[in-house]
Amino acid sequence: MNAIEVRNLVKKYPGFKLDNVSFQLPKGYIMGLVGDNGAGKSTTMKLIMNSIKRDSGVVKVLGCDNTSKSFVKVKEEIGVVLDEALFPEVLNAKQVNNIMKRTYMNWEEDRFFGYMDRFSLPPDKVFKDYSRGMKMKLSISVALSHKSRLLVLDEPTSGLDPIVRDEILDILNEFTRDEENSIVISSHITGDLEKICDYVAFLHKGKLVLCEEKDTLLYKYGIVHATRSEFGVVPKNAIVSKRETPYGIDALVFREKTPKTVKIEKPTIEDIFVFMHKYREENYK
Amino acid sequence: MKGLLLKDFYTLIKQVRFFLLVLLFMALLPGTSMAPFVILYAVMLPVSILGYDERAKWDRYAAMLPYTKKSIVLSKYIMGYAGLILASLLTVTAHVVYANIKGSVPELGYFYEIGVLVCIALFYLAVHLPFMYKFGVEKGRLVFLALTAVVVFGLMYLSDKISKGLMLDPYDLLAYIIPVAITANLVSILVSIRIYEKKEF
Amino acid sequence: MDISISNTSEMPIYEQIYNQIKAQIMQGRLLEGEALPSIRSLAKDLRISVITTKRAYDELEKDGFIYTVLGKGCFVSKRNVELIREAHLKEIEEFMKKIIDLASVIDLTKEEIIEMFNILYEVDKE
Repeated sequence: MNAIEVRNLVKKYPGFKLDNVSFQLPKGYIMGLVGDNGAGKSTTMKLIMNSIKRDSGVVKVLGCDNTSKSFVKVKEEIGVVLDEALFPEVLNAKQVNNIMKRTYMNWEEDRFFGYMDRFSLPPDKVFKDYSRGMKMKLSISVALSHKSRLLVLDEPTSGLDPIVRDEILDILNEFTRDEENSIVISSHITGDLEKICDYVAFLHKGKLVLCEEKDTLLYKYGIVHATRSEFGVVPKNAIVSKRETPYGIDALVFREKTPKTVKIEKPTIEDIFVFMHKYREENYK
Repeated sequence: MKGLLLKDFYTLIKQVRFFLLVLLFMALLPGTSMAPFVILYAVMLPVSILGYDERAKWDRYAAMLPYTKKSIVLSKYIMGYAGLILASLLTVTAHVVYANIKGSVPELGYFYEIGVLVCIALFYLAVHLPFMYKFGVEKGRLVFLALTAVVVFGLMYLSDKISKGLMLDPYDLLAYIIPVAITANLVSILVSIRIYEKKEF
Repeated sequence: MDISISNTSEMPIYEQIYNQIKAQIMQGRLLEGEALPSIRSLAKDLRISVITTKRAYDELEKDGFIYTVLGKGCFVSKRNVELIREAHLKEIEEFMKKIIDLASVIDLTKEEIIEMFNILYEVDKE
């Protein structure tokens, strides 16, 4: 069973098109959305929640078509964190607790205040006096406190320091210890995604460049740093993209197609993303 | 829906507290009729909440919660109505209390006046909110003001003819404008929901 | 159970898990019938992908080192431990025979072979 199923999703804006995107996130797994600004990550997230209308395609969330009437019920089981969208600034966390108690059927007050404690968030302070990071942590606390089965997280670690980011990743990791629970998460910080994701999807200019198991991806590709002459033995079809300097060549290659004599390093998601991005940019020219 | 109303209530509470003080002060001043002020203020409340919402991008967040767009819109109207009921009760009470202190009987005409004011306020709400939803708070306010200006000038131009043609006492007037106010609100709610459902955040 | 994942290793993560669990079974550090941690909890504890862990377990099961009881988890298999030990022993024997054959071609003595082996063994252990 899929937590999220997206098929041939299209959304047009002036100057932007989310173009025929398809992917699925099986229940119990974490999918990371990677992409530069304007790649369509937030648009995809919004389309998953049907907060914007799709032009065509199919989106099913927790088995329910998200344009159907019953999707409101399904939202009970979805925790969402949005970049920079929250309650009015004059409210405080205690009030949010009261509001959410009357919003979600399964609101867990103790858990919510537990997270408030864990994140050392002051419950009486109005949000005007919260930092960006604190707002993010509050938002995450809310998302985790109503027995969610799915978390939809748009840039949840932006604006947070590394230690808090790591703590949040730990919490997300714990969340999926239950195989009913799934997460779709987008981030600029690809290192964060690399730590917790089972699947990685690359978006670029509204197109899904690839969507693959993270470890397969990391094994499929490799990074080669070599001199020009050393690089000569790498066949053309093994090269995804390369960067030439006066001293040599750095390249992203397919591991399987590269001769064993060439030293291949394990790439990071960021390496793959940056090199692929460059490759696509070149193709567009 | 309860959660939405509670959120709106929390958003307003500080502002309203200050307003209640002003009100009390005005009520204590003899001879001032605070009714139009109070009632118009009350009807502005939903717009003021919308301002806070907009700044916090609340609508984007609300779209993620288990609420229909219908109930999100409806809650703003309900806040407006609740404010109106509260404000008119307040002014009526103040009037009665004041009359008692003076030892006179509360005038029936005053209640009609309040009735007419509430209807005007309702009408105002009905026209105002769809503009807010369509254009956002800043632009919506401008569009609304422009429209008001046109209507006011139009009325001024026509007022001579109207006042000659229709010599109505407040009671008759009420009989006309209550249905108008109610219809206007029903239409307004439908229009607002329609606008809000089409809107993307 | 000890497992350490190296992120810098050339070896895919699932293979690292596969090898380490296999080794522990072969060495008798994991006993027959012993329950392995569930795929999910192992993945979460090691902070690696569930899919990777699943693949490692799948391979272990395919090669007969472990078996799955539906709803209960994975356990170390019995028979195969001995069988595979046998197989490994046989393979080692084959290699040794080959060594003897090759050594005789260049007149290498038994002592020289053992010394070579000792050196290599020490180097490998380091």
